[in-house]
Amino acid sequence: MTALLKYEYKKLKKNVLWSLITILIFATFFLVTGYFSGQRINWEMPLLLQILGIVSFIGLAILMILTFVAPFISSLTLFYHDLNDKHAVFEAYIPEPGWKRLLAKYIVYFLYILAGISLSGALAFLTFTVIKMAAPPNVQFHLDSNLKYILESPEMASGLFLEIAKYILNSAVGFMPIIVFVNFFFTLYAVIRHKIKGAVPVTFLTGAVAGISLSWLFDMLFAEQVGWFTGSILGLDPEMIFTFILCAIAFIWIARMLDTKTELK
Amino acid sequence: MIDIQGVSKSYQRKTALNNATMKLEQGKIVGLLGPNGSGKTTLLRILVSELRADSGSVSIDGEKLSPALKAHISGLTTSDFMPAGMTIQEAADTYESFFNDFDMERFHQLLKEVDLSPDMKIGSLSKGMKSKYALALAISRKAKLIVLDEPLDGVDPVAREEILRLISSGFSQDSTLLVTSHLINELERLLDEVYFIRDGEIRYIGDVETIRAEKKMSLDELYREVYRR
Repeated sequence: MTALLKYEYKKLKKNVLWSLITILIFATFFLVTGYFSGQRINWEMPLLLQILGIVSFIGLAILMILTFVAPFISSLTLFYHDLNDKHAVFEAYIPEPGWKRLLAKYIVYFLYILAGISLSGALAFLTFTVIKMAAPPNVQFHLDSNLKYILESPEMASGLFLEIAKYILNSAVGFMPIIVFVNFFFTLYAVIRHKIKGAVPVTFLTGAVAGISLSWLFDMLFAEQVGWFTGSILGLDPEMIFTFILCAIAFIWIARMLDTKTELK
Repeated sequence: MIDIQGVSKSYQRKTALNNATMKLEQGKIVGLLGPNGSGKTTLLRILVSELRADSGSVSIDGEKLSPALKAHISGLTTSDFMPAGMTIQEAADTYESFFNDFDMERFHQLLKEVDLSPDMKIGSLSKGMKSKYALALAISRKAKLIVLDEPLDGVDPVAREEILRLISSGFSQDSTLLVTSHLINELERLLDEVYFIRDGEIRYIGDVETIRAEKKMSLDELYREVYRR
């Protein structure tokens, strides 16, 4: 398992290293320009500084969204590449059962998504700090005293950090069923691509039908419950248990297809 | 003993391999020779689990093809299967971490023989160099079955010589080597046994020495004769 995890990590590092460096460079740039142009933002300051201040905050907001969503989207594409790119040949040689290969991938994807959400959170905190500096003195005092009040009370501070940690974990866990669902159809495509002429539309249609059916089923069974990101994903509510069972079935099915059915281009 | 029994494979309606049967013995270099598009690569890709047979079976010492059995098969169906950003050494380290039978010392020896350095980036290698490093990776494993698909394809005559030398010096008598090529003449001197393939149909021809002694013709000439009829 260690070898598989190392291999998955190496692939991920190769794929995301430059994106991460770019995001960090832009984030630093926007934070610095946001700090210098935004801290005295008012209508009398030069237009260029006003624009720079606004662009910095918009830029930071975009970066926050990107770091939150990008790991999830690239986790989807990484699995697709594992079945279709040149290195797929090497993966076919690896003498490990499908479930182990899949588990290693999902552990790495989960940690990657977790890191992305945490980075997004850190960016949000830094942006808040810069905005706080740019706020008028009375608002600044208000924000400072509120934050001070929270941090001075150990229960409130630990409660806040626990809530943040739970939110980060909830969000990361919430992405995983979508990844398993999409991966199932990428795998199905790799199974039928040499057997059926219109393998792409067939897979797409099957995926769409399955998606709509599952959504209908969830609506029927759990109409009264709240959704993924607002509900307690980590708690053991029926929707969570049902989703977990579906994911487990899909996981076993994908692993089995990887072992005996998938074919490369 | 590697036993390939009645393996068939179709791509939609096109038959690529029809009831292929082969028995490969340990310590032998076996050639599967035939023109492009005859089904050679399809069979090798089935052996390394890149493709799945529609019917038939493959077994090594009585054990059927499975994820665990991949530990005994060393494959080379393309020389472009490791990320371009890796160095040759990193690729070898990855191999070593997955395959217990990978011999790093042997790999370094083979690299030296073909003038390649472990710190070279895979992305910077020419096609011939890539073929040589990938071949060194594949034959540095003490696998029961080693399959090489068209190792001479697309490389210049000097590199071809080096590749043939590499195969012959790197081959261990504990393994069975199945090699395909459409360049029959070039591969001939390396082979112990030979099968011909055309339109997905495999035909056992026999022991290369015996063929030469009895028929007094090269494999290339024999191939032309067999399929002229």
